[in-house]
Amino acid sequence: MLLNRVAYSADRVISKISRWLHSVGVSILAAMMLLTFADVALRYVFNRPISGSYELTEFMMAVLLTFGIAYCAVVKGHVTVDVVVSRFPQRVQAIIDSITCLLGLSLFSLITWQCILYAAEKYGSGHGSVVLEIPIYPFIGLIALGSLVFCLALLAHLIEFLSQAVEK
Amino acid sequence: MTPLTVGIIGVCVLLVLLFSRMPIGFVMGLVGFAGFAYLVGFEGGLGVLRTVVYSTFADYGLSVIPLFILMGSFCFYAGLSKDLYDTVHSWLGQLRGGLAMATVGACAGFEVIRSACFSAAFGSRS
Repeated sequence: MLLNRVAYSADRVISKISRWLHSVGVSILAAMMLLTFADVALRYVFNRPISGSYELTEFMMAVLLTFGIAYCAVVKGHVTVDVVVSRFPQRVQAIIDSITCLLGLSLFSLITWQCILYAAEKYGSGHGSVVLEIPIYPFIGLIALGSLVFCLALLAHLIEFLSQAVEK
Repeated sequence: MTPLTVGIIGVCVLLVLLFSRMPIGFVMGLVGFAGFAYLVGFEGGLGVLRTVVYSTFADYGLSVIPLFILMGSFCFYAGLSKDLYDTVHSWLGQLRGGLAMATVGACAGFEVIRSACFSAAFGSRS
């Protein structure tokens, strides 16, 4: 089966990339924890909080979420309701899954495209954050990168579901 | 179609897609985008898509959720939740309905620890 083999190798490549992104995101989560702790502790003890920690947390959130979303798709961790579909025969399940996967893929390819445009727009206007004046376009670009990898993961799933639907 | 009809159709599509095993977040995003694009136009829908994605991802209020889950993982791997549960279970376990009472008691114990941390962390922000 050609489709099956394509699905297998695509899944391997995507899981490697998304695992790498995921470990970057997890390190950012650790940094976010330390930043919040340091902010609170400094405010309490010395009455001198880290300025702009609010904005830093926001930027970290953007990177953390977008780098985690592809890995979550690879391990099929996104929350779904399967009380109805899991009662259907295997082939019907594969067909329904490929349709919903296609819908998700179209939504996230639109998001990727729009985020690239938005990043270009923010790069042109030089818009930055309020306190630290960090430009925000790199973070929008990272969201575009994360959703691009997520689209590739959805594409790999789509090929897998299609091969399940085609085979006997 | 009036906006009300579009809304009702949108809710129906939302339910159908939810029960067809599509991830919940994507269903909401897709239905919201499609409804907005139908009412305002495709360009307007794309404009919402580009701004809302960034402002939702980079949200300070939502940063509580990953940190909270991280705290839960720490408590789980440190054996804190198990110890709390075992304590309350050895107090109340032999009573009738002891399992349920032990669960509630363990939750209460966890809540005591959690809210002490939380009031320290967030009380000073206001």
